[in-house]
Amino acid sequence: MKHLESLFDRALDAVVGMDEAGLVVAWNGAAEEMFGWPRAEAMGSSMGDLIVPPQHRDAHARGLEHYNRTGEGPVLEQRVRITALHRDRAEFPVELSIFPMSGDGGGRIFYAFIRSMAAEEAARRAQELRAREGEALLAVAQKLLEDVSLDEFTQFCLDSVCAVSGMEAGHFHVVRGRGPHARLHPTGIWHLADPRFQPVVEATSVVRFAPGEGLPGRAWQSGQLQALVDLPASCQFVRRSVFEEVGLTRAVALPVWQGGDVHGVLEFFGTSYARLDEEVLRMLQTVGSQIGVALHRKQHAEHRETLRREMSHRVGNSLSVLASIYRSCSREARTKDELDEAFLGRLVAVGQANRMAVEDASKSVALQALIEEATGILPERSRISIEAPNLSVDRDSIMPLALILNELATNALKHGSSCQDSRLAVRARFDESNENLVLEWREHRAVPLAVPPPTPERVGFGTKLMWHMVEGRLGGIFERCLDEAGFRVMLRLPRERLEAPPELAPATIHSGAADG
Amino acid sequence: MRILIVEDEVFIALDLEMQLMDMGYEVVGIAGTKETAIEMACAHVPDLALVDLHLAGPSSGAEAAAFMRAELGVPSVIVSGSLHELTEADIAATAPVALLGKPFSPVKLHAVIRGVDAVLDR
Repeated sequence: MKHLESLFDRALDAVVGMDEAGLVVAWNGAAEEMFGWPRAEAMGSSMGDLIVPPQHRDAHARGLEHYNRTGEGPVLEQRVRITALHRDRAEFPVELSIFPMSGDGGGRIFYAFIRSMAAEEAARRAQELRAREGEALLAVAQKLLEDVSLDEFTQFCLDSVCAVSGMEAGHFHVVRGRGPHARLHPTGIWHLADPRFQPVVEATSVVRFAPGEGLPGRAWQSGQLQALVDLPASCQFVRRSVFEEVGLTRAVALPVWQGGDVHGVLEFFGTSYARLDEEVLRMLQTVGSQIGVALHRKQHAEHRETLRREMSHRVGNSLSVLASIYRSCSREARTKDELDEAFLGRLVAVGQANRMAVEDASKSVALQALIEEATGILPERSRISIEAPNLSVDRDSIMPLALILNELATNALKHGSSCQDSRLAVRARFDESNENLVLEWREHRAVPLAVPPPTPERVGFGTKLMWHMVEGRLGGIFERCLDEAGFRVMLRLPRERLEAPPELAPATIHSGAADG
Repeated sequence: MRILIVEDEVFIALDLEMQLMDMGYEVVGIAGTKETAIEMACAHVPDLALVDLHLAGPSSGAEAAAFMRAELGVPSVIVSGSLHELTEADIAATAPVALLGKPFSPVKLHAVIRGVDAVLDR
């Protein structure tokens, strides 16, 4: 027997022996290492308690009893794959074979050669996870090429990650706002494996995370994957009570990076059965970052699509406006020269106003500059006086105001020629209430007429245009009078509509998902 | 037939006004916002409104048309540069007698308005 034991100690496999009562009678060095129990402690203990996982103990005891009674052992001398228990309670896969021998005392002794399959199992699982990871990434890449909305795409990504990682719920937060006002907002797009998880959607819909706040906030601030294996015990997880109630106790948050900034955070939740070991986290990290890039691309594509449609809409609109201007001018003009002048003059004015309102939208336009631009077409600037308060014109009001001033200047150019010495005074000021801007355009004749000029028979297109611009577009009042002293137009414009807000926020277009 | 024009682009509105007047119709007003449109429609109760869907600012042409139809029984011709963006809900609420996609030619305008005139006359 001693001879046999010294032979067993040289074996690469764990070799253990058990008597008919189920107690350990042999335990080699490899078994000490594999199971964590030193020989001295193992000897005489119950083999079932020592290395058989709880769920297999009954079968182990019944098999031993059956053999003792009948001499039959169907599992003996065969290769068996099963799991075993380490001293630290961790279960691991093993391959073993058991053979009975006669003991020195006449009874039976069962020897088992046991080989740990933990390394093979780990390698197999790693390979499988990698294959699933590859499949998920391929599916996401294919989806990216399809014509689906950003919301649908986000949903697909969440579904894919949950499918490969075994997580039960997934959600995407986006960063909105700038600088100190930036917060993570829930998109409301979720993957839920079971409708009973629904309460977490409502609990999440009301939260906004600042950097460093909560699990998503920490993923955002650190730029790293954050994992929580025990949500109920984490005081940093603000929504823990709702999540705990439905049984979601594990969480992973992944920042979505693009161009050096975090644009959003993917969040995944699992029950206590969810495995969050290194392999799974590594896979989440890979899939998550790839999906982050894809999501960001999709957002960009959608943003471009919005801009493209907006552009096409604007061009179509501009052409309609152009056709309208042409028809209106052509209706009024008596000669081709008159038509050229009226049409091209207005065309240039619309173009300039458009440039100021759209292209230079980041800079607000001063009222003074608008007046100067319009009166620039008039000769003899020395005869023009301009007085205007410091006022930035709101971009929506630039176009109508510029067109009104253009009509007035064009008119002055046309009729001013008959009285060489006339002077032009443009004076803008706020009224007593400070709520209206009163803009007065006055053309003084050097020599007043002896009799009042006749009232024009009909209202010209220019006048109608100004009147509609003032009342329809600017919500103001338009007055016009022609007398012996000259020509005078008074505009009373509400300051609220006219003035640009103090700080022009950069124009942004939100994508559909970001608003969802 | 008395027509209200709801259009925030002044050039287009004035041109429409002239074209409609040339066709022998009366234009009761030009409104650039939903509020003005409702105000003018209440004051004049036109036979028809020509409504652009996209108005400046937060104004909605669809809401103006829906109000005029529901409260005053005034039918609308819906004008838009992006008819494909017209939702089914918009159509249900406004129940337009005709749709007119921008840009449209005077010939097209004539055909649509004459057609609507014939239908409303019955």
